[in-house]
Amino acid sequence: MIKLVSGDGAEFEVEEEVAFQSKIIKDIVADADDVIPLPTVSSKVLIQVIEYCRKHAAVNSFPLSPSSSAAAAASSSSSISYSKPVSDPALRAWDNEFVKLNNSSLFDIVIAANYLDIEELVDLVLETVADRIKGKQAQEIRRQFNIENDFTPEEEEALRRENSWAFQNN
Amino acid sequence: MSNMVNGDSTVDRISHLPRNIIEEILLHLPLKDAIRTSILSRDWRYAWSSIPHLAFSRQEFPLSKCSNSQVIFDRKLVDIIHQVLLFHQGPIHMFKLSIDLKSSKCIDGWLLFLSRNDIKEIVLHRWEGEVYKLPSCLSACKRLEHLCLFRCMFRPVHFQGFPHLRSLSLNNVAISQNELETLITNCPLLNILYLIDIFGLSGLKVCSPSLVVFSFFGQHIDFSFENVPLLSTLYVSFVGKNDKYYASPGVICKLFRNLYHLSSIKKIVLYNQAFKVWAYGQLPIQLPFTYQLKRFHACVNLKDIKEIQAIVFLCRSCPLLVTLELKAYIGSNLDDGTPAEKFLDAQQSFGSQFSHLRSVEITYVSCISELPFIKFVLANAPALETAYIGFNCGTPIELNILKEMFKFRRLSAAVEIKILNRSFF
Repeated sequence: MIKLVSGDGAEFEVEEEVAFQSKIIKDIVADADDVIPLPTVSSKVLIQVIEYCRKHAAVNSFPLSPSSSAAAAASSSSSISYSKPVSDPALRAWDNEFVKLNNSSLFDIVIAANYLDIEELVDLVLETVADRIKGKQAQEIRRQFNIENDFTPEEEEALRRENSWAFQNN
Repeated sequence: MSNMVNGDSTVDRISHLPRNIIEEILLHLPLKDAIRTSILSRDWRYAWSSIPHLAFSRQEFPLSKCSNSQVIFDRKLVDIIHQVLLFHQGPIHMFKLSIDLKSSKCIDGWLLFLSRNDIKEIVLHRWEGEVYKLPSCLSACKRLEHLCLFRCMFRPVHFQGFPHLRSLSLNNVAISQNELETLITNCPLLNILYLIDIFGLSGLKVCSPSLVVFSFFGQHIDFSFENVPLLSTLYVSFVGKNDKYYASPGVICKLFRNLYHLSSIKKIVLYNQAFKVWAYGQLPIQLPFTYQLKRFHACVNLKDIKEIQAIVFLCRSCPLLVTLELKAYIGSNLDDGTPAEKFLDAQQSFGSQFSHLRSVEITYVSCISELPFIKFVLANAPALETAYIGFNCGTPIELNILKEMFKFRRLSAAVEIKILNRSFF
């Protein structure tokens, strides 16, 4: 068991395979002890990250069915196809539920996951954020993410003209 | 720290994320959406311009929705690409052109530009226009790791190789045997090689100490392997009429000749005519033993005695085979399957050959005379867990076949026979 201590002092005991979803923790444990302080991660966020790691550790420890593991092997060995590795559909559905959060919570998780080096979780969250941007008008993106428009209307118009092709809706 | 505890939903957090995270978000967006973020605010003004991946794809520039002619479309597209390259700053690791660009005259210049900007991955995929003759500056992309070409002509001059190339995909590319072999040997880290409908190829000797996955789709050519100690996955598909390529009598069939050289092979998939072509010829008296092969897939004529023999010998050659998937196809010969049945009956004494087989799948079964092989597997596979059977759609005697099949003796008590309603190939 490994003990993780959040920034606000809460302690969480987790199994090695759960904690080792984070590459950083894996490295720390290799040459230090089993109590790991994570001063920049709040307990609220750490609970969510552990939930994700627990789910993924459990799924990864079971061998996939022959057909899905073959598909995963085929797609992961090929960087030519740009699609993501085919994962367990049940796990994907679980992931989709997991990221049904407001933007602020997603950013908390991604900052923590980035710090802990949990690549799959970073990817999952950023994919979700990107989906909330894709195809939207600037005004809508600004509103959704509270971005203040500090351009004058003239400046904004000039920028639109600069890359006019990107702003045409075809 | 304050942001962390404060769930305030009026704060702009996205603009203040670490740089690498913002870059990752932009990488998850199509180029067009990434560029559109430039007008969000001053923080975002140039954020897109340092993303290291530039992909110009059909989704972003659908020609059908553009009412203009091809010439105008080409001109607009070229202008856009020039402008993006002009605004871009920093290294470009990936450049993908997957679009209906008819004219190819600007691509030379882009490749030259990329060769000076740390390019690691190039994808060129044009459906329209003439076949693109690759310029010599391509070989100056020394850091290239992935190269994917469609409808190109590869005529390298003074080619020094790609020291970092890990995957190469050539689809509808014109290249000679000699040039392709030189290319392969000069990529010392090559792991993955896809060859699809290559023209100008007379034969091929695959010699690559680093190769792990090899896939060949197209007209039959005679290819062989040499020094492929890591090759673990092999896909081969031959199409078209191949009768004239069959081996002359007395020559060991290609399946086994190749197997001798594939010491690490784990999975073989032979689509279309590939198994038929490779099974043709003399079966070896001394079988090569391959202890790595776990999965074998092929299209096989289960009424053809030659093919049945080859598959039985192959299974004996690979005693650790776990999965066997066969697609039965109806060959041109109207053989009734009797010789195959006699042959299989004579093989019963080699009962241990399927000792590790867990799963067998035979699809497109269409007549009773294809059953002896299924019977043979069921009677000789002690560890079999599942036998999947799929019928060719519209087989009128499905029920008769099933009735017959359920009578077969099963060596493995645990085996479950499942009927499939789908096809896998």
